[in-house]
Amino acid sequence: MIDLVIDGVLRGGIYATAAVGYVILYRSIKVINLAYGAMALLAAYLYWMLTPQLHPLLGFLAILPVVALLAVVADKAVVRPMLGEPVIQIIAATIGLGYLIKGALLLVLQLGYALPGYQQVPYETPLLPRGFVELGALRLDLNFLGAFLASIVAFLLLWVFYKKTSLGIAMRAMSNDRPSAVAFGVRPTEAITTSWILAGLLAAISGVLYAGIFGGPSGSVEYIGVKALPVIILGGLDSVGGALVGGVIVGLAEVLGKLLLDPYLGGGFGEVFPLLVMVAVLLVRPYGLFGTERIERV
Amino acid sequence: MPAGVFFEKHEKVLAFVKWPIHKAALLVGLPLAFLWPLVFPNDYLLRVAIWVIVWSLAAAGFNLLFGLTGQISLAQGAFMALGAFTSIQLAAVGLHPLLAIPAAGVLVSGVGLVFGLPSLRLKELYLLISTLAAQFFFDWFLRTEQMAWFTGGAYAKYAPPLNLGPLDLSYGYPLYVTVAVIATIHFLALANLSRSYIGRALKAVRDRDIAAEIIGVDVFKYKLLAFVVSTYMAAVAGGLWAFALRSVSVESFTFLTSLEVLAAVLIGGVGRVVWGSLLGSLFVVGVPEAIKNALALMGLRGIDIALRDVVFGALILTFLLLEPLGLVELLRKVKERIRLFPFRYFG
Repeated sequence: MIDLVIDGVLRGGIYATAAVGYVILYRSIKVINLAYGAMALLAAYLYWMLTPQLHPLLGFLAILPVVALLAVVADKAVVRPMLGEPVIQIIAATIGLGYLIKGALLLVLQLGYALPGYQQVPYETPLLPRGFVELGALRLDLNFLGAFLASIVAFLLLWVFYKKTSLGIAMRAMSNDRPSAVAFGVRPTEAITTSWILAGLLAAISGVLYAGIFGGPSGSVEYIGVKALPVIILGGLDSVGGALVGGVIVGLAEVLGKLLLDPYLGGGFGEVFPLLVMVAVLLVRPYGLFGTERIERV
Repeated sequence: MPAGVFFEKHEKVLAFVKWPIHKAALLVGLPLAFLWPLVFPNDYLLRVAIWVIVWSLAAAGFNLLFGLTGQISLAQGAFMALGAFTSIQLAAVGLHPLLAIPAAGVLVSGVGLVFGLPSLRLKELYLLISTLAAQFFFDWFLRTEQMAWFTGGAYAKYAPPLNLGPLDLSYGYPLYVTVAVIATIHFLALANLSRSYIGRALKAVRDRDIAAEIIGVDVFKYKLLAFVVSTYMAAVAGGLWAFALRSVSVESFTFLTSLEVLAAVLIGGVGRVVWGSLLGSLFVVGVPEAIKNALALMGLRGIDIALRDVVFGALILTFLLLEPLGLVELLRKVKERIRLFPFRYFG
C-alpha cells in the first residue's frame, strides 16, 4: 500500500511537469495548447532516434533546442496571428498544429522505414538507468524516482526564474495585469515567446521522461498531454504551485483507482479515474482548487 | 457583407432560401445528390458518399453547439459510439431498424443532457476539458468486459439489414437514398431550429451569455437544449453508420472521431449549421480518401495515414488563419463577386 502511494506521488511529479507547460502558456496568452502532447511525442521520438549515436544526456540536451524552436515557430506562425480571436478558435488551431506535428513525425518514420538500408528499431536507451533502489523497506523504481527528482529540479528552476530574474518578474506582471505591465515597459512579445519556449522545454522533458517510464516511445506518449489536463484543472489553470498539488492528486488517484476500483469496474479504470475526479471538482469549484476566479461583467 | 444588401421584410430574414442563386443551387443540387448514383453507379463512391453524409450529421450537431451556442464538446465521437450500439441493441430487442435509429438518438441525448449539466458553470477551456473527460470515460466504459454484451467486446457488433416492408434497403443505391433522406429530414429540422426564436436565443447565449440572461433568455435551458440536440445528431449519425456498415466495434468511434468532427466544422464553416457541416465533412472524408487513392495509383503504400494527418493539420490551420468562417464564407465571397460582377464594390 505504502509503495503504491509513493508510486502515485512519483508519477504525479511527471504529470505536474507536463502540466506546468500548460500553465505557463495559459498565464501569458490565456490559451491552452492542445498540440502539447504532440510536442512531447516529437521530443520522445527525437531522443529515441539520437540516443544510439549520442550519450543519453547529450541526446537529451540536443533535442531541447529543437523543441524550443518548434514552440517558437508555433507561436509566431500560428498562435500570434490569431490572438484576439475567440479562445476556442485558437485552441482548435493548436489541435491542427498537433495533427501537423504528429503527421510529419509519422511520415518521417514511415519514409525512413521504406528507405533501403534502414536500421531496425534501435533499443531505447532511457535517460535514467533502469533498476530499483532499496530505501529501508521501500523498493523504488529508479526511473520513477529520477523522473520525479527531475521534475522537482525543473520546478525549482522555474521558481527561481519567476522570482529572481527580471524577465520572470516581467512575465508575472504580464499575467497579472497586462496594460499596466506594458505601461511599465514590459515587452509583450518577449514575455509570450519566453513562455512558449519554456512550455516547449517542459513538453520535451516530460515527453522523454514519460517515454522512459512507460517502455520507450510509442503513440501513447501523446496522452501525457491528456493526462496533464486534470492536473491543471485541479490545480487551477494559472497556478504553478497548484500544478504540483494537482499532479500528486492525479498520480494518487490513478494508482489507487487501479488498485482499489479496477477489480470491480474492469481494467483501465485507473486511467479515467483522475478525469472523473476532475469533473467532480469542477462541479463544485468551477475554477479549480487554486485557480483565480474570474468575475464576469456584461 | 457588402454595404447595401438588406432585407426589408422580416419574412425574408426568416426564409429558408434567401437568394436566387441558392434557389438555383438547390434545384440543381438536390436532384443531383439523389440521382447521381443512377447515372454513375459505383459502389466505392456510394460508400464514401454515405460516409460523408453520416459525418455531416454529427458535424451539424456539433456545429449547432459550437457555432451557434458557443459551447464546445469533444465527446461527439463517444456519443456516436453510444448511438451506434444503442440502435443495434434496440433493433435486436425487436424495434424496426428505421425506428431504432431515432429512438437511440433520444435515449443517448439523455446522456448528453447529463454531460451538458456542467455547462451551466463551466466555460470555454474548462468545458472543453470536461467534455474531453466524457470522451475518455466512454471510451473506457465501452471497452470494459462488463459492457461486452453491448459492444461486442473485442469483436464487431453486427446490425440487422435495413428494410422497409418488402423493400430491402441494406445495400447500394437504396441504402444511399435511405441515408440521404434521413439526413435531409434532420438538416431541414436543424435549419428550421436555427432560424427560429430558439436559434436567436442560442446566438444570444454565444455572443454574451450574461447579457442574454439579462434580456430574458433562459441561458441554462438553451445551453442544455443545444447539448441535447447535438448529442441526438451524433447518436443518429452513429446509428446510421452502424446500419450502413452492418458492423461496428469500439474502434469505430474514438477520440480521433471527435477531432474529425471538430475539423469538419472548422473547415466547413462555424455557425453555418447545414451547409458548413456538409461541405466540411466532404472535405474531411473526401480529402484523405483522395490522398489514399492517389497514393495507391502511384504505387505508394503505408504513408497515407501520415499524409492524412499532415493534410488535416494543414487544412485546419489554413482555414483558421486565412478564412476563419470556412468554406461557406469562401463560397459567399464568390457569390458576391458574381453578383457585383464587373465591379469589386457596389455603390
